[in-house]
Amino acid sequence: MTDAVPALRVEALDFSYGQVQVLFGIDLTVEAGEAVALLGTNGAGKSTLLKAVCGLLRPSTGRVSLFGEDITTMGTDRRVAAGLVQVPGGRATFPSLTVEENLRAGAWTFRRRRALVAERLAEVLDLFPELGSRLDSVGGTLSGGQQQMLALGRALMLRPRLLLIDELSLGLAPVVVERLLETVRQLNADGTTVLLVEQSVNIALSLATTAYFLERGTVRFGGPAAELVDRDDLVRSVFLDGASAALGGYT
Amino acid sequence: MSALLEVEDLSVSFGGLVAVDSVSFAVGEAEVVGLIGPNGAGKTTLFEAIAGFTPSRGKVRLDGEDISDLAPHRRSRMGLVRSFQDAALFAGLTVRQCAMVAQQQAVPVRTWAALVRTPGERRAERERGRRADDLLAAFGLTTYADALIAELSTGTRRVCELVCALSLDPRVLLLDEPSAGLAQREVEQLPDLLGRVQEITGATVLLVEHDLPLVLGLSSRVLALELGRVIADGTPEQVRHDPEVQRSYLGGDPNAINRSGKPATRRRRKLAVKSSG
Amino acid sequence: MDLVVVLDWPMHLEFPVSVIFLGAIVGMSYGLLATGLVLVYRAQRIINLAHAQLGVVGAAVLAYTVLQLDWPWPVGFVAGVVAAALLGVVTEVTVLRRLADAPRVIVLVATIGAAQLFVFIAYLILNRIDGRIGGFPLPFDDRVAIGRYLVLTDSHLLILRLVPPAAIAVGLILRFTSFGLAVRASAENADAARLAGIPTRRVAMGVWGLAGAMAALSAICLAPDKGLALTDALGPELLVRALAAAVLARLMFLGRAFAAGIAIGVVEQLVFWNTSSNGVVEVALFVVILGAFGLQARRRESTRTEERSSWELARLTRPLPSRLAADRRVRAAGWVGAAVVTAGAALAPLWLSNSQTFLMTGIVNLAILAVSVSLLTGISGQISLGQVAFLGLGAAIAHQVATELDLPFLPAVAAAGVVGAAAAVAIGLPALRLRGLFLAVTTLGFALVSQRWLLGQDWMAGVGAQLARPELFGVSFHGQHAYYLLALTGLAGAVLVTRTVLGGPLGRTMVAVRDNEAQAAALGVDTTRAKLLAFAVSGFLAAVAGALYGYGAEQFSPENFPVADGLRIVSVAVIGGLGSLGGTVVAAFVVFGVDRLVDVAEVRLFMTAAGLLVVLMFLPGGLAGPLARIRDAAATRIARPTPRTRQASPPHSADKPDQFGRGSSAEAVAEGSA
Repeated sequence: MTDAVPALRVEALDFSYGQVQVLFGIDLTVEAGEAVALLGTNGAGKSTLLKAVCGLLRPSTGRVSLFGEDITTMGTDRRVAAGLVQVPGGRATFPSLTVEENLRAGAWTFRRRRALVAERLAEVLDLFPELGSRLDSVGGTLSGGQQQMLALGRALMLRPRLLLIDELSLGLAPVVVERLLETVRQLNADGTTVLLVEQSVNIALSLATTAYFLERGTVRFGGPAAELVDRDDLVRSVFLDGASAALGGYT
Repeated sequence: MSALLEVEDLSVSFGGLVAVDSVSFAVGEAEVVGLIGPNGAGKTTLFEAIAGFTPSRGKVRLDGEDISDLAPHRRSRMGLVRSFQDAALFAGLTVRQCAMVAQQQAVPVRTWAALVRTPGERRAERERGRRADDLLAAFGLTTYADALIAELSTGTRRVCELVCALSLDPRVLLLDEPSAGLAQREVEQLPDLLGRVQEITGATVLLVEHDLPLVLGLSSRVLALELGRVIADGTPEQVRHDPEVQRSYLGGDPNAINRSGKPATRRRRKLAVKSSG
Repeated sequence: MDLVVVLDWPMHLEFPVSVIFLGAIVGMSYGLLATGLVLVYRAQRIINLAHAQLGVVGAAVLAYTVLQLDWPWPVGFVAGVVAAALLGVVTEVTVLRRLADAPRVIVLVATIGAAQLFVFIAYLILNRIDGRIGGFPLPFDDRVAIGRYLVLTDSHLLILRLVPPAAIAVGLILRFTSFGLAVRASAENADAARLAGIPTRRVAMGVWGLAGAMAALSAICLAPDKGLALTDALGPELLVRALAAAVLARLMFLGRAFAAGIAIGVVEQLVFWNTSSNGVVEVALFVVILGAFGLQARRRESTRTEERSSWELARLTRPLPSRLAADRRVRAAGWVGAAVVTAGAALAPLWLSNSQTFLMTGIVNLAILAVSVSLLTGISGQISLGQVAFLGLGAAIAHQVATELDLPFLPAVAAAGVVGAAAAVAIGLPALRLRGLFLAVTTLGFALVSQRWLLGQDWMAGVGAQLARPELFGVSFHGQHAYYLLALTGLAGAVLVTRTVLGGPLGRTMVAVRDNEAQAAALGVDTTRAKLLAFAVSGFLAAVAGALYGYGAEQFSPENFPVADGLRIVSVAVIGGLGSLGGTVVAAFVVFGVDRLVDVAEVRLFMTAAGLLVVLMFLPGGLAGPLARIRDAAATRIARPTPRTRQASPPHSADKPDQFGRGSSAEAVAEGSA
């Protein structure tokens, strides 16, 4: 596995918003076919890093390569064409477009190849039948879980080689998260490399083999996910029973 | 226990979409009530309707008084205080200034006096500053007092927002996903914080949340919503095992349920071949 | 078509169906303009105040190619539409792209600059047409009579033939083409669109090109009735109508914007039919707009938190770092500096001629006006495009109370201020109960009403109102230098009042309402009241400036208060730096001082526009930025040096994460994007 070209390699990446430096020398590698979790405290810069990887933001120094190709200065649309697709955080559907239009927006880069668009559309609807029954519904009327499915489905129209997901579980009910996680697991098993940004350690670790922990713009940990759980200095988890006992006085 | 907050047949629709469907419930003094439910269940919309930010049909009563037609700032002055999911506060003000805005309820600003800066108004400003400083100190925010809100992390803003809510002497606190945007270890400190808030105010708390351990640990009572209707109402244990709730919301994956706390399992689940979506 | 609906109460009013039909036709071109406005707003959250003028450039190109170059009309038409489209694209690429991350107020002001630039370009083009007599070129020479009352002129026929197909074409493009899909997707969520591979930059260019073409079409259709004095005729009135229609459609619904335009056209024609007065038409439209806004507020619209506007001005004003501000030497230097500047300003006329001092007085009054705008927009986040109307109002009221009631100077000025504040409350109330840019539309309408009707009324200023300079406390202020000092005192007073309001709880409340209105309401703040207060204070100051202006000029008429100046004063406030009093005053002196050196109105506009755009692109904080840097550097030099015993430590150390994480700028800024 180490001989294969990594799906994503970030080297010594710095990023600043104006005068304020926000990412410090980020080194991160995602091997082809892996599922990697990117965790961290709030404000650590996880979403910023994703945006830099996707080209929405320009790093001040450093290098980003996708399957060996240097994409550091490439525009977002070219990165998408090269197979790098992100599902942005916060239910990134287009609320006033119908479900079908949302999915077709995902197919914009190959919109002229009608047969291909139809084929991909069928694939996505097969994966998310709930969307199929609501093709003409306007995106904003879907529930949160369906919207997240729609966002994921739109990304899948492009058959990404590397899929970045920002906060899959945010604001979603557990039963929905379970469903989405299952889908992502299957995608990963079928060969799509996945990088998942998450707040919840437990959710991320149920999916990923490798984890990175970001704190205040630097990588504090990078390695097997199982080892991260034992790092109490990073992930101070509290036993649920203990918490209930301590809280007994307040309910 | 007499009802402090009563909601009667409250309905909210946006165009053709019914977000809240004839919801009725009552909450008493010093209760902590959790609201859970899938997205689209109408929880945040319900809060917005109770607080007056969204037009609605039906009645809302605070301590027996009908507040259904009052503007949001009026309801707030009567003691019905809400928080916001993003705790955005006021980017251009410092923490201390935010706290002082909140104090303008307890120590009102008289417009004409403020325009010419009478000694009386200057005294009032000092009073507001004192009260704000006291609250900031009680919550450990003194070092941030002169920092601009725009420069704070979500967690610190959340504390600041709670300080502001406290300044209004709330009788009912509507907390909309207080753990949103917080990292796991910050979430684990929330119960402590909210506990202190309740101690100080004796307020009734209504809490919308997805982080189950947090909700179940904090609440004495839980309401489950789905599609704008209340489908369960009881103790956390009762609601948690309610079959309707299980079906619509909890599902069966322990890791999805227990977002904080020790991971339920370290094994990767075996991939099942799915026959349907 | 001969049907007439007649009302005999409250007065004799006729509503001929044919006039309604006519109004609908004219209204269609307003509707098309409004649709273009909504399109750009939805795509980029920009209110394009230059939209109408972009169309005027297209019309000018048509006129030039047909009249001067003798091209056939259809070819000239295409040239005009293409020219406007290209100009739109160029504007997007050069100016707006640079301002993509700027606060929305700044972008709005940039479009003001662009509008002035377009006026200049149109003026240049039209000037090159020999023999500017005669009308705007037309493709045909028809005149259709319908019934007894109605004659459809060429302009109307042109509209009928061009606008409906254009409107339908736009609708089809948006709904059924992939370009349309890309436009709609980018409008909703630009980041998500880019992540889907949509080239949002190219899409933005396309939107501006389309909007430019639509604007040109509207202008070309309306021009024949206006002759070749296009830049005057298709100026603010057109913008107000288009804006009103767009805002009535909540800046969201293209179909509604078109319909609202038609409604406005109908109202316009019916009022004109009954009164034959252009001024009254403006009043009627203004009343309709106020009424419509009032009705919208009635529905107790939802202040949903997701709709929090992005008018964030949080970082624009940078006060002196607290360590420096507390230093005794710095404070002393501050007082000395203020004294020097004041003395310098007061003594300047000793080196200037009388006429120059007269001009300086005028500039001082305009500086007061600029301060009123800075207060309103910088602190309260509201935009008033018609502050010039308060200037005129102040002068008129001072004139009335001085002549009719024989009031001396000070009470007259005070009365003017009070009336200004009251007027602000009256016209602000409908708009400020809503959230968004309604006040901008209302104030623009008010400026139009003032210039075209209100100030001209006999019970206001009338034409050629006169005011004699006062004598106060035994001192005569007839002389130029003397009156200049009086005006300067007024400016000092205005700055003082603004500082007082800003420094205390009122200013704090206004900033809170500006930054997050819903949260402010949740904390018990009466947000409408806060906004109204800011507007009232700014109205008071502007009216006082007007009274001082009236006494200073000694004679004035409605022409002295053109609508365009309302836009210019906002530009000045932005060039100075919103919320920065020092910057605003400096900017006023610079801009209006340079003005005096130029004679031609259009060239003046060009210079303000160019200056504004340059400032906006390279100094988004306005002059306040460099001024603050100079101030900070000077203060650092003057202040006592920090003791070198230990490094200034941040309030939280890196090793001990405190209760809820650090509050460092780095984390927070990352936070803001995460």
